[in-house]
Amino acid sequence: MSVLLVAVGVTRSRAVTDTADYLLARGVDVDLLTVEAGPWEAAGLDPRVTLHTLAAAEAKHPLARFGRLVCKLSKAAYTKGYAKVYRLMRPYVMWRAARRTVVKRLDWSTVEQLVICDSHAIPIGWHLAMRHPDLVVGFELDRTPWADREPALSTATASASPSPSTPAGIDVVDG
Amino acid sequence: MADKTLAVTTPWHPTLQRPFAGSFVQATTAAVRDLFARIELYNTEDWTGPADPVQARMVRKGYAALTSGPSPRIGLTAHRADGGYWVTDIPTPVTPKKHYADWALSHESVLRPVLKSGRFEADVVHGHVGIYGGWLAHRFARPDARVVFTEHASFLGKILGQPRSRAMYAEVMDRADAVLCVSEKLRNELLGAFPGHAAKIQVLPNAVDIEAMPVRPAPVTALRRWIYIGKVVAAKGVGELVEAFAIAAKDEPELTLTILGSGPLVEPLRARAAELDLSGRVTFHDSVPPQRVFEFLHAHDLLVHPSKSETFGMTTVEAVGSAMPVLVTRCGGPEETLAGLDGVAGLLIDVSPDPQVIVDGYRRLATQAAQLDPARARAELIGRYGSKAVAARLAEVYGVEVSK
Repeated sequence: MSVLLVAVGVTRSRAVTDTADYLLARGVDVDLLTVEAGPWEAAGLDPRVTLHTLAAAEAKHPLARFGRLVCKLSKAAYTKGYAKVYRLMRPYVMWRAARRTVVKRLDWSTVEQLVICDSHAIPIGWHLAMRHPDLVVGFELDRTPWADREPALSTATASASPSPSTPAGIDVVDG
Repeated sequence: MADKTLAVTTPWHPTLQRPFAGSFVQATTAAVRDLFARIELYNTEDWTGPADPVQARMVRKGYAALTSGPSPRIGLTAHRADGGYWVTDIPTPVTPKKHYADWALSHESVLRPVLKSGRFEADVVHGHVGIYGGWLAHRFARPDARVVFTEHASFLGKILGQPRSRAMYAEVMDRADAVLCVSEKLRNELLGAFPGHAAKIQVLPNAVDIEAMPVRPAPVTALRRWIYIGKVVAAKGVGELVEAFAIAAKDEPELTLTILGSGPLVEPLRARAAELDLSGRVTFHDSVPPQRVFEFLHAHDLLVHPSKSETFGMTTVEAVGSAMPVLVTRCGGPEETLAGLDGVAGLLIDVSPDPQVIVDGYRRLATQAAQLDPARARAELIGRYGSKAVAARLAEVYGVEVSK
């Protein structure tokens, strides 16, 4: 079984990484639908989380391709005209990108919960919720299904944990 | 036996994303749990969304579709918190670069569908910060409910400086039965803006669970290991602190300084410390969870808090609560929290861009260290801000009896 997290950006990365750690420690697979992978590595997301990024699919969309063409012809036209219009169209493009990627590739029969993790992810989360009317959806993980499951100590979390007793990074001199 | 109910509305309370946010709201609510048959806290947490108006509208539309209607897809339900009360976390999509009035209305729109009857059914409603908690208390309290709000916003001036939010604030002031300010500074600010409501404005600090703070295992005998805890930003006077430390450290080779916190000045100050040839003596450490703060306090001898402005100054209270000497600026909150304790808990110094003021304060404190009385200072703070003391005062404000 698995849980799908949707987070367009990293504004709420702590909630995402903590949720992923909780699930992975209990043997639950985690998928994250996002735009780019890079910022998540910096945010400390466990590498066992399966990332579904939308950036490549967004770049392939005809509107984005048209944007690159406009940019080549005139930077001013791109900035003053195209970029403003594209900003309005972007949620639609992102949803199309999601449909071409995660909606097609994910085995939805295994997804137990969909968690919408940031404000930007609400439109995509809403579309996914409509496509899967029986799926449990929330703004945070409903931990009830795994409440009784003991967490297993993972290598990734164990190595990332700071020392519990000594203030790290300072020399403690006996007074 | 308590029979009344309390609703608390706040934009700050610990969540997964912000586990340390609003710990003062948490402590204050936990302190009054025995005064009521049931306490329900509604935490409208800002979720910053797109600035673009069309995208922001799509977010609002999606949010409404998911959370409203007879059988909403996402039910925002209450869970029991450690403090013994019920918490409903309500994500609140907000649009950046807007005004406080717009944000307050966003908080109102997300709370409305959560309240089944369309209002708080509690006998007493306590909002935290005038905009937003006070506004929500005003909008959703029963007509006969007692409405109280606590102002603790360091950004109160900005709220009152925007005409729409000031008008909303005036409505909240009209409706409130009591207005609590966590410091005299905030009370004066509100008195200046709403002199007609002077009778209902009083100073009542947040509860701080000082009784639970661990006292350092060994008393301080020399002020050798300095520590600063907080945001590493110019407004906290951290730049002046590093310069002051450099002056003091010249004569005293055993002095060290730890800067615990994050912020834009970390790297510039690290570079400055290297330039001053202090690399081995000034240590920077990223911020830690509240429960680990005492490990650091116990591993140091002196908290130096050179902030330019504070409404309360929690770090200073934590240091005194752990029986540690403090050197702190008269920057608003600290002279109130340490009233009568100058020379007992540590020393108060003036806010100044001149690092020599910190150095002089340190040298004066070093000569008086033997006269400090950390146990008395801690006991005084428990009497002022401890859970029982604050709960007794809140019971009066709420108009409820303290349970026996």
